[in-house]
Amino acid sequence: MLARPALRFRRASERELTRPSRLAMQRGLLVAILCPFIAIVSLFHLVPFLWSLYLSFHRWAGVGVPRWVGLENFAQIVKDATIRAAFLNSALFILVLVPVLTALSLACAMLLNQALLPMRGVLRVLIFLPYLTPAIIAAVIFSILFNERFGHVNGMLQLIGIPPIDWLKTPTGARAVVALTGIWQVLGYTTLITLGGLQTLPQDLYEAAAIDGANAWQRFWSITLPLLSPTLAVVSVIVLLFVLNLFLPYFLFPATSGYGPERSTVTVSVVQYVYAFANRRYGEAAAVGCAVGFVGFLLALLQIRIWRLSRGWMA
Amino acid sequence: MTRIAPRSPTTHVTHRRSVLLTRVVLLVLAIVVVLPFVLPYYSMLVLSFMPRSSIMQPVLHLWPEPWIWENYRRIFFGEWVLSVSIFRAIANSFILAAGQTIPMLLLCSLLAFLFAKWDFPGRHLLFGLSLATMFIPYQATLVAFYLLVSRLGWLDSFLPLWIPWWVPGFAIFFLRQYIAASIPDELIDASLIDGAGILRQYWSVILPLIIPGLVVVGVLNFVNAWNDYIYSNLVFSDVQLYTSTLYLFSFQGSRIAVPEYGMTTAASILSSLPLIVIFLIFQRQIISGLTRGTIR
Repeated sequence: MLARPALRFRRASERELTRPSRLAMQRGLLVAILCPFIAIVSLFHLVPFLWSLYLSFHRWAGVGVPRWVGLENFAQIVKDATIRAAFLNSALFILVLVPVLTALSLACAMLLNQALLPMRGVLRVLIFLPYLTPAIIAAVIFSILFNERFGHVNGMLQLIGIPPIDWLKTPTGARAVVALTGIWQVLGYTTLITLGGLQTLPQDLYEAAAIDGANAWQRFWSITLPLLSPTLAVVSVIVLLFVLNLFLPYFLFPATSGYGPERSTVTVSVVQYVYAFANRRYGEAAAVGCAVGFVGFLLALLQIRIWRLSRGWMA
Repeated sequence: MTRIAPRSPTTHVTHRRSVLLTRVVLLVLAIVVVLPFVLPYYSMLVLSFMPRSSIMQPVLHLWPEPWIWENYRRIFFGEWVLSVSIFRAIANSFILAAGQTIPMLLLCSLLAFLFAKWDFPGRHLLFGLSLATMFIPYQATLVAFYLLVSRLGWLDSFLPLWIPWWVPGFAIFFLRQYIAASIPDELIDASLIDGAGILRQYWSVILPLIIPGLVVVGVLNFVNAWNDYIYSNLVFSDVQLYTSTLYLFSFQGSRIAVPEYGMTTAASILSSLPLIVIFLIFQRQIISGLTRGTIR
């Protein structure tokens, strides 16, 4: 029985590659390309993943032998006040930002998709710019703008007669600043992706609906929303991942390592970072990371499911 | 939604007028929406020319008053606790982002070509492996990543910020789809008959045809690398190696009583300028890449 050739072009016969020396050379090349790939993926993705999983079941402060503690580190998610606050805050940000950002992306995309809108290209570039801005710069500018004494936000509120708000020192104010900065950073990106979805919708459906006398609102509910739901599912997953990775409070509230007033802004990403690299509580940090990974994966699947179901209801 | 008036000769003028009105209303609405995304940059620019004492006056600063160059001068020459110039940090960011992105594009497009057009044992397994890395969130590997890098003796070097990011599953997946969709098999058939091997096909057939895809993946990766804080902070403790994000955090994170707002905003402006220039050069490709739904 002949051995299967190591490498062949998928559709064509291997007429040019059957000469033994040539085939051997290409095989060598294949190995030379694939080996670095396999090495990098194993060493920097699989090994750290398994190592973190291992650490999440152990107590370890960086020296000595890690001690097996079973599920104790995961129990800390409920028992440790800071880690618990981090999970609750992240859950709150998910509950608020996922629907808000998805709806805002849809609204902005529909506006930027209007054929009659002038300067559409420029507006698309401008709304996307904050996505290029690192969280640290967003934090620098927003912490100045929201300063309770000389920030422009309070300055403008005062012009319309609203007394100054202590944004950065109260739990609700701090959370609002984190949420607004996050929206500022990511809305341009999600808007462009939604815009991409809008542009693929068949125009003749709208014309047919207009002839049938459907008004703009009816066209939105019975054409745009159902047909766009795959795109909106993608957008909501992007926002979910953005919120799970939200590290912004660390830059907004550097004096408290991102915990914010009364631990109101600490997120899962922040608590993991601080526990691992400031407190050397590697086991708990690894447990937080693994839990976030697991929960995030489930939530993403759940969201896609919900969008599929809702599409079924709407259609 | 726009209401379109019926087209008939008698209503032609009113129709044109209503179109004009719609355009104006839409533009005003769009400007109101986009303004909050642009104003913080303007504010940053204004503050970067002002002394700290004036910034802290509770008035709206619409124009630098008084206008000084002191903030820029001090970060140019590193007259600050770090005593490193902002240009050093920007150069480090550039080394980090370019050293991560350029090899990544070459390696991923080559792998994507193999996965899209060639058959070899283990092809599905390896492609699945690269997809699997996309589903491991960074939090699940971060702690051990740091331990691994310090065991390898790679702290204070660019290697741990380059090599692990050379084969991201997202880029391989995206480029594989791009090659499968945009390059017909006949083209590779023809080059096989001409006697071109894999590398030759890759270099002279595939690469020139997938440049638009490479631009989108490349710029987005460059942006992410440039904006990285978490990994760079773990790896670099030598201030000479500080990237622009670490440099900026030294202002924001310093425990001194009153932050240096002017210098911080000046450094923010300078360190985001290269990214904005790169984005504006490639904006057409990136926006059409994003809106064509090729990036998901």
